[in-house]
Amino acid sequence: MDAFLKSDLRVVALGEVMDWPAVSNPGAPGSQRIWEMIQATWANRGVVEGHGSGLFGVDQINAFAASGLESDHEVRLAQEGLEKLRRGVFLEVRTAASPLLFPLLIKEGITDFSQVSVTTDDRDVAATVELGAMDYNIKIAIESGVPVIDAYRMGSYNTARHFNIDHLVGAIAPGRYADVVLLDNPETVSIKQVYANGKLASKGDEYLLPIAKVDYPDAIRNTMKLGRVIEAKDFTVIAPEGRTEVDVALLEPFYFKPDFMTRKMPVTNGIVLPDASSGITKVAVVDRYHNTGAVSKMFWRGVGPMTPNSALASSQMHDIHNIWAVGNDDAAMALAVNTVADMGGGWALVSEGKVVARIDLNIAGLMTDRPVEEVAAEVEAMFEAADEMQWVGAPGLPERMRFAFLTASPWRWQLVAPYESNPGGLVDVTSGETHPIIW
Amino acid sequence: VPIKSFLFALLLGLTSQATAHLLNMTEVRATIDESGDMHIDVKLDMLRANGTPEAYFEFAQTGSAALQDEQYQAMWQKLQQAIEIHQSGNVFHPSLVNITPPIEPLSAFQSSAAWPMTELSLTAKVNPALPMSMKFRSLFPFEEPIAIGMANSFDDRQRNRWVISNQSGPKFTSKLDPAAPAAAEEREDQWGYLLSALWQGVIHVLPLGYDHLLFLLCLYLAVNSWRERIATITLFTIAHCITLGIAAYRVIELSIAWVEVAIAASILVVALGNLIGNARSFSHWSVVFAFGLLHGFGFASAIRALSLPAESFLASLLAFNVGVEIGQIAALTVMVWGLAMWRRRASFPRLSTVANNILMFAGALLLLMQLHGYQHDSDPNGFRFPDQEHNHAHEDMEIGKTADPGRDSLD
Repeated sequence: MDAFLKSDLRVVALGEVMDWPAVSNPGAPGSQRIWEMIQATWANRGVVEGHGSGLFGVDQINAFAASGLESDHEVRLAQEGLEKLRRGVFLEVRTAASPLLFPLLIKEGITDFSQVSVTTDDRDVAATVELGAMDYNIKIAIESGVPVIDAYRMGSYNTARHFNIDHLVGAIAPGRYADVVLLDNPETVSIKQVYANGKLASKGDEYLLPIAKVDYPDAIRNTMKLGRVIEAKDFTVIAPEGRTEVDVALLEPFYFKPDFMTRKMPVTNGIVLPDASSGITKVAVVDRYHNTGAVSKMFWRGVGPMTPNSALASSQMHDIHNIWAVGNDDAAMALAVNTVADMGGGWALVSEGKVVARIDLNIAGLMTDRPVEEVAAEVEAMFEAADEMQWVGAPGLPERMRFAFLTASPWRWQLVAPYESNPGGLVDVTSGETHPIIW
Repeated sequence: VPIKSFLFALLLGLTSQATAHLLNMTEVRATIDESGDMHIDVKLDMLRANGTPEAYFEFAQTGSAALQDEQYQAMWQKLQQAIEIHQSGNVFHPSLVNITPPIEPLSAFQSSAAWPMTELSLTAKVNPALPMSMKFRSLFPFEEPIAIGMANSFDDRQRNRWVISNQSGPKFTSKLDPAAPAAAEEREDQWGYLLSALWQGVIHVLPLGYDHLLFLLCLYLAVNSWRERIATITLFTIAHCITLGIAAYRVIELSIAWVEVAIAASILVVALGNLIGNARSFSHWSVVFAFGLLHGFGFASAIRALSLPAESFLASLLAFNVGVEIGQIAALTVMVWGLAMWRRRASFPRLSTVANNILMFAGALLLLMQLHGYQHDSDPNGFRFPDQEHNHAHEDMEIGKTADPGRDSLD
């Protein structure tokens, strides 16, 4: 953190300090690590961004403000937002919170909105194409009763000031850098023209410039370091010799209970097979950082394809971003993972042994610099391809899987990529305890 | 260690959630039967709708009777208004028929690690054969994401998509009958796209492609026999079709500003060639072909601005191209007719020189304009001379002489 802040002026903050248990409890695992990062940020006059989700009791809000976490973009309840604002927390308000929060702030007589900004979080490309980005945030703030001028400040100056970069951006004034939006009607955020770097970039919502060419270094483009081609046998679960039945550990998406589930499963020719028809599929995590192509795998329930010989894989795996795969067939899982790796990251959907949809995200395996219409079309095509298939649990693409591998609170047992002392990958992330996936 | 783990487990139950916005997401299941009855089941965290955990708990105690309770009528009104069903350009709202509040202790409502969900049943009448979609307005506080699932009871059609408030849900079509109105409307949509792409092609020659037309005139003046004229124009057309396709598929991307500059230069070059009597060398097949390739790139910006629908991209691209050719044929007809009349007159050779002079001048002017405009504008169709913005651009350039070079790039 210290090195980042010192070496690059564009690093201005420590983002989303999410692990409130570690921040608030000195004995919790990870507490020392997170506080060292916070201290290093402050030592360099950086801003420490918070994540106050679910902290809406007065004591909790006091503790949050006292800890020095300077912002919150997770405000849901209007009263919660008011109390946080009163305690000096900078509010980064999402559109979902605006219609309830802003009327309350105004009712309470608040006229100074300098500690409030508007923001997005996890907004889907289709939503951005249809509704807009910052223009939509500002529009919703105005519709929620925020004075027009204040709403525009929430999308520009207030944010710049919060991050202590208002001498560079956030205002149209001598010495500042600014892209300029000309409006037909400020109240409806009707855009006439946008000037970016002094050039006309759009008329209305028609973008005129080519996409800015950024020469990303190889280190950013080539991040799928598998070191080898993944094979079907990497996903095979081999039973201990001589067994006709084994106990398996079982997880499902968003499973937080203290212990994983277990189940007895039959052994066929020495192998334990998933059974999608009774809701059991296989989930795998493939290491994409160490050129080992190490694979961990186990059985999950309630998620994955029912259509035979199918799998889904992605390099979006909050927050470690290895490659995860869920499937009912080893060859399909290998194909999905290799497709993701070949693209340099993204999503791949395999149905009945064939790749039926893919999303290329080859910048760090998470992003892309391609035109938005092209990416949006790929995303929609994947949803539609998934709708042509049968799924365990909720129908359609199990998009929630991208969040299902978090290793922070409240998760307990989790599947992670294999590491030295845990080749199976199943671990209790709160205690470090490990367990085999079958026994 | 066990005591510490125990304490920590206790703590976990009391502290925050990293992903509350996924664990209490709104779930919507809509099913449509053959007679058009639509049943919508919604699982919803109504904490925000009630304001506080205590108010939500109190609401839950009312049970299903909360649907009739005077106190909650305004809330239900808002909820029904906020759920929209879109079909054939109409918007209508489902009716709430049943509610099942969560049965949990007050502590669960106050906990930040539990999300008591209320189940709602709504109904609506739709035309099962027509495409439809749902939208959840921010008029009511739905927790996001909103997972919309739509399915038929009579075929295996389903559409599932996560959305946020105010975002259109997936377009749901049934497989009822390929000749049903649903399919017809889709086809109409397709024809609509193709026609609009065709029309865009026409207007990108007449009048937006004035530079393109000037070049055509240059070519036309350059050759004398009909055979050569037809061959020249055909070659030019083939060439620009090739690059239009290449650019549309983004195989090669060129800066539109510099393409425009090069097109202006092409007019200047061929007009000059015509004048100094060296027409053949400047209208030689390979040169015509090369300029044709260049002009194709000129249309690429128009193609990109159209954002053609992915499912009929090739068809729309071809329609655009046909439109361009229609525009070109229309322009050529006028040229042929005008020049044919003129050629018979004695003044033709002299006037031809004048015409070439004008063309050369126009090409030069266009070239200067494009070069100049490139400094501060990127709209390929913008006329870059008047306007206050122009003066500002120059002021900016003056400042630019002292400012850092980073201003001129987007990275």
